[in-house]
Amino acid sequence: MKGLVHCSFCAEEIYEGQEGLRLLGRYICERCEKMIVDSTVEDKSYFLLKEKMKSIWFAW
Amino acid sequence: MVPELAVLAAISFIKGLLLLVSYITNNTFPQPLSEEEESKYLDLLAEGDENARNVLTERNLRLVAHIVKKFDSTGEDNDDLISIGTIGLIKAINTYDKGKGTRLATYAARCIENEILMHLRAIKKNRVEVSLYDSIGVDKEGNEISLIDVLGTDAEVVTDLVESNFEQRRLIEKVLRLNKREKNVLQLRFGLFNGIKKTQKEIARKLGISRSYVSRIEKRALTKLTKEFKAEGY
Repeated sequence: MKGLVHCSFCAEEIYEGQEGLRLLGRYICERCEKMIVDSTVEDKSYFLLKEKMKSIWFAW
Repeated sequence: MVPELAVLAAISFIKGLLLLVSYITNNTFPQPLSEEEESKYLDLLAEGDENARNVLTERNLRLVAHIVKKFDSTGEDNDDLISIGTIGLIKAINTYDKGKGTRLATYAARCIENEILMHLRAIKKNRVEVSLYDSIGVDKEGNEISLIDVLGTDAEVVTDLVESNFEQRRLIEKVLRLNKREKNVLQLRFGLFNGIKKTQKEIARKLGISRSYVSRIEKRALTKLTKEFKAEGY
């Protein structure tokens, strides 16, 4: 990973070795990736996850 | 649905559709992995290679787009479905077990489809929104009647909406800028200046026009006001 990046979901700084997932040139930190994997459509935060994912697509 | 909301929904739907078509026709999706490549990256992932997971996810994004296309007829926003499909794909990559003998693409396709179906079911379950302009039947003259025509206005709701004198003044200023007929109908309907509210039928009799025409004028005037308030950030 070149330089410091931010998680596209929570905007937290991601340091070398803490990257969760790289998707279309954007990073998702480990914590947010876990949140995605554990999420269900009934969760209150699901809408937010969906919108954040959309922003990755739009930024691409 | 309020006319401008319907227009916004239509624009959003078309935008999503165009975006999806452009992804596919421009061949902008990363190419899918061959069976050998998929197997290689799955082995690397099993050894803890994080980059392998990124490759497996990105190279299966095309699958998301293809599955989303199947749900075109649902009328749901394609951008939403692509996002949800991607969430399904991430779940698939994280839970895939090579030992079970199924190909990743097969398993991922099922996960993506499930995720979208669950979302569609949840929407259906939670769809309790009713528009005030939804038709609930016809009157004696055969004119369509909507909820707003028969519902009274709760004083508290009005108080909440028009919290201060300042806001009331702004509303009245805007009402005064409407054309004569719209102004008359709103004044009579909501008792804007004397507090006496009249039904559409009473207004129709007073103005010598039909009740349905009063309803149309009222709807048009409220749409204009809503648009103006929205433009000001309300």
